[in-house]
Amino acid sequence: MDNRRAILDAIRAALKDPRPQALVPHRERPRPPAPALAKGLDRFREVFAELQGQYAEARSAAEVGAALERLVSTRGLRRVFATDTPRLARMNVRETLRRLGVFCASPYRPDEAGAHPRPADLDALVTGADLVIAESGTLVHVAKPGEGRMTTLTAPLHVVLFTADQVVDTLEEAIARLGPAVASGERSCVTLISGPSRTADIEKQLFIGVHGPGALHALRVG
Amino acid sequence: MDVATHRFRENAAAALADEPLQQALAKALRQAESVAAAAAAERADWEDLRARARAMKEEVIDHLDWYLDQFAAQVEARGGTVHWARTAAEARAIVIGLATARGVRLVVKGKSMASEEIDLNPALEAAGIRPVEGDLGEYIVQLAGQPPSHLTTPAIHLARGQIADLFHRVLGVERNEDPDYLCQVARQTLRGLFREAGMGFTGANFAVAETGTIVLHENEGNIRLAATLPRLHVALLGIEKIVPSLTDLAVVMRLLPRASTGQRLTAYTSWITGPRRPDEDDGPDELHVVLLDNGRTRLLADPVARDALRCIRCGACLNACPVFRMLGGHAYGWILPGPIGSVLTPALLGTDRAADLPFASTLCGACRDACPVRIDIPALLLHLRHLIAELPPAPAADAPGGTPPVPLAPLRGALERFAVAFASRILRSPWLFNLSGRMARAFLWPISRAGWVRWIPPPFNAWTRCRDFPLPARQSFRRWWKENAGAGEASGPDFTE
Repeated sequence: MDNRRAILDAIRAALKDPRPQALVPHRERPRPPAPALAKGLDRFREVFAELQGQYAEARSAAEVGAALERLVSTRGLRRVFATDTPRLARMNVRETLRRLGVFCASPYRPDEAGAHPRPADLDALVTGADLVIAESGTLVHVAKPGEGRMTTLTAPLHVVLFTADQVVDTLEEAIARLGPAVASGERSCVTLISGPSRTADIEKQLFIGVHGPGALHALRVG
Repeated sequence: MDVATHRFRENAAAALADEPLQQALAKALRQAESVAAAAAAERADWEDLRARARAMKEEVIDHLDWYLDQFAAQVEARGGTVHWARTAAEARAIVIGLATARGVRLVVKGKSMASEEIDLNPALEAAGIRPVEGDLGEYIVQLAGQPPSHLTTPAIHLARGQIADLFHRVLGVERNEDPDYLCQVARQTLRGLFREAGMGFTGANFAVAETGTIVLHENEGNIRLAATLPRLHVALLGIEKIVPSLTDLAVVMRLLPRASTGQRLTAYTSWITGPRRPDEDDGPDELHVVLLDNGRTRLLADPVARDALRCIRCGACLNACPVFRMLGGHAYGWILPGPIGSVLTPALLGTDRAADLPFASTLCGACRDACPVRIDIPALLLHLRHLIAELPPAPAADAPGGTPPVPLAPLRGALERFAVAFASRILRSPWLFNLSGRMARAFLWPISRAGWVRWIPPPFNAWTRCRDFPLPARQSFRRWWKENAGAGEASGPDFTE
């Protein structure tokens, strides 16, 4: 507590002569809206592809099932976990994976049978998105029961389902939508995901899939 | 790390002679600048963004006490704990205290300049706690036993062959230069350690006062792992990291990745507000935020130099700087290299301990143009040069290591004043100017080699101590004019009409 006072006092002393502005900040600074780039889904697809993400569309639960089936067979997936948010439930994601014989229990919580696979054993992971930002090709994920902070980092392949009404054009719009959940303290972690995990730490050359997924698929449903 | 800021001249000479370093730098920096420029060009409102960021940081600095209070209150309202560290030593003690109280033996770390600033790793090791860097570049330099050499690309000075040798030697894996292989080795080795660790340690890029949120930009995913898997998360941040609100955050979130790596956004940006909520699946049970002063309030007390507190540590000025491009980061002797480092290092360590750094610039202004928050770095360097020339060296408050202050600073000032007066006398007289030119040519030609003067005997050796001097033409322009152009015309151009 003494340190707190010492630092704040040092700041006040440093700013005293002359205190450049009023003591209390002006809350009403002009904030011109940032001009939007190309709008909506088209922009998202374009940027997401530049980031080396894979984009696909599905109009129904059946088409989602077909898309997942293709992924499972072409990539030889054997253990896939899907979270259980309402959007995924509507698309019967878990049922599809069970039917394909690749669904495995949550690595985060022991399921009904007490099974608890190690996250490292997963081949792929299916989750929802909470928001999609078009201008930067970003999938927004809010930590919540059933979809923790770690979820989106676990498997080498991450499939994200979203709907068209979740797409906003700009970061500012995303912040306006997400702000309340952050400000109210309801959720502890919001993650903006813009492409697969990457590094350029060796000779400034780009490599994909360092700590997080090396493959990121966005599947628009509806 | 050792503070070697006082050995800048020797270090610079060594860096220039280091062939692998020169190759690595050339390769790595060639593209960095153009990529960032292209990313900026995409935003038609780039200049507007810079202006807004500058105004926002100004607002924060002018009311830093108010915003820090608000931020701390919000963190605590969300279940986090806030610690205040006046010095690097206090910050180290806080972090180690948190770890030892919980029996932590292993700490996984996200890349953090603040951690380098307080020299945390040796202190952790001395306390019997093993720190492991999670960022690939930081992991590489940690294995190599070196400090990072760039704000955002810590292993920029190493070529892939050197990294392959290192992994082979230290980790005992097969020697393979394929960067994909090297990434996978690091991933496999680190995954296990993330699970075992009792503490995740990170810095923060920004801290949102209104919500008590810390913001972490990264591309690999290791920082989010460090902020999630261990049951204790400690975040260390300088008191200047504050932004007022989430709306303001949008401005700097756009600028930082573009200026730093040319990305629109980094692959992952995490906003962390307190520890895990009871109903959430994962995340730490405890979040501790350590706010670090360590010389920042001293910088704040200088109305000119405080401008440097706007810095968002993007590294754009490094990539743009002709001096950095030749030397790399290590020659600067401390964790903050390049143009902004030449401002911040003397401010944080004390001007007497880094008196050469403000002079390691051509004042070309490339850093000012590159800076996304429009810090006038050349003006700050000139300000520091002025301070160094005018003031007797002041003892540094809490500086790590221990180096003697530069002696004879007042004498140097007097000598400089004499030299300038002398030069001014010569420059005012055409006759003296002509004569001194002839003398210099007569003096330099015999000691030159292949058009360059590499060594001039003292006391005229200030330039050639760390630079080569181009040999002047054999003949002065005035002489040439007289002999060639002067023949058919009047005795010279008439500037007076």
